[in-house]
Amino acid sequence: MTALTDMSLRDVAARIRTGEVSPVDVTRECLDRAAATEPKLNALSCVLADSALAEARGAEAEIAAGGYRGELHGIPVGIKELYDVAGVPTTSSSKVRENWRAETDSASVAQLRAAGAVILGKTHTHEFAYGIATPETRNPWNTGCIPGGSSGGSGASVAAGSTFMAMGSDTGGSIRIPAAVCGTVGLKPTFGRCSRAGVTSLSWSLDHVGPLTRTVADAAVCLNALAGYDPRDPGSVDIPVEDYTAALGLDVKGLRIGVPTNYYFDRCDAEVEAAVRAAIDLFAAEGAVISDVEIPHADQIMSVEFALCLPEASEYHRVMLRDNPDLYTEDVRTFLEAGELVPATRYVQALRVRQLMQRAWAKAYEDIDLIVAPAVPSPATRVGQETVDWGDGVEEPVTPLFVRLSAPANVTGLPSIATPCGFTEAGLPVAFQAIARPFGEATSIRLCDAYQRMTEWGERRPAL
Amino acid sequence: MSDSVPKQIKPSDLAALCMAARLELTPERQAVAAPALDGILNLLDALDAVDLGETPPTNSFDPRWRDWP
Repeated sequence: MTALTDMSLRDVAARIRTGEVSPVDVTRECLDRAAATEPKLNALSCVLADSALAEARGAEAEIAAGGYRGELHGIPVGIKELYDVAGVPTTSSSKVRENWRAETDSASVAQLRAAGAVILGKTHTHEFAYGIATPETRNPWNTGCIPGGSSGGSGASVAAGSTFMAMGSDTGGSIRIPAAVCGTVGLKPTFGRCSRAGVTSLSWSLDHVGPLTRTVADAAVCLNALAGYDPRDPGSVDIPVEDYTAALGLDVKGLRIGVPTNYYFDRCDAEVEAAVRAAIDLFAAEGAVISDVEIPHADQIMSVEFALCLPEASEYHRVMLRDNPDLYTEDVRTFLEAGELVPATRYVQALRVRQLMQRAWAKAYEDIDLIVAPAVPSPATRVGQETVDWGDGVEEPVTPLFVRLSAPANVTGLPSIATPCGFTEAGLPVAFQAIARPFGEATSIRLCDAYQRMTEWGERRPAL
Repeated sequence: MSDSVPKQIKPSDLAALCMAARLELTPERQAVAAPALDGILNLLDALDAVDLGETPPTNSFDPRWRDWP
């Protein structure tokens, strides 16, 4: 019999709704799972066992009284360390914020609570979301490997089964990178679709919040709870929210998929490329219309990403960096110091190039609904590994390596879902991403959900 | 961009930049920050390849007043 902690959020929700299992049982099983896996993974920065069980008992009573709120009711979830949870420290996995205690919930946490979710604990981030390694945490598929980042604790926790969903944030891939290398789904919504209020910023121009889940259907359920306008977030966009679960259970016939002829498959691991192209072949066989697409302004994507992110991050940290420089980890401190010295004209130049890039991407989407491409160009790297040797004389540092295929959707603000599409011979997960038009999350969900129903990659669980 | 402009940050350059930013860095920190800044500035050179014409930046300002929280 499948353990509850190996099921999807929706499968467990169905059992909670019918009374087959109680939120208290589910929460206890998640806590037990965390106790068993945390010594190997350290995905959770704190476990809120007492409050989680109290919330689960409340959900149990409410459901028993006929007050079922929906599929998140009674479901244990994890919250990235950047998010404020009332009464709980928001450390951003940094000594700089060791004593920072939130007084109110972030928008996402409030939305999840309103949907009845149980806050099981918080998940580790690379310090202040400024990196791709999440050094405190290990990858559930191989504990000698990184879980990706910055939402590495969320990826590891969801893959390990201690939470059914965990919140991430994505400035240069920080939802999709850990999702890809941990074998989970990662949904980065359109810029402005989900409120960032109460989430520690890395870069106001590029930050997005969203869920990491075991299935695309689970992500659709979560997005229903998280999407919406919030005047507290200046980037929030006031347009109607759809029912994203309406995009589930459909086929891919007639969907127009663009396959990049440049950029996304350059310096891409052979096993990753083969798995992504096999997924594209499957879409074609199922009636999707495949065509080539050239990625515009490819040479400027990483320049815009870094020209915006570095000065904004350095400005956010300006006072803290002067007050407590020694409390930062070395890599983050170096980024912050260097970011202070980037000329302001470069920052504005990048904002102007971003304008042209947005228009050029809109033109590239004239005849397609989605782009399907690798989520990351490499499986998880080893802990401490600094570069990847591509065998063509190029040794690429791991940070730009993991960021470069994610950055286009940050710079353009387009929604993108990372979905598991295979494993390497070494047993590490690989993933494609489906990038849709602005606010086209439902189109990505339709495609990726159809893929998961046709394949079994998302059903595998790590042996921990 | 002119090829005659040096593209590697020297310690004296970094000290001047830090002064402009009001950022105090020890010589040891300058030795770490200089190559990082070099790498970043070289990456940003790719922006010069785009003819921007009259293109405005993507930042925007909404002048409407509202009930801010």
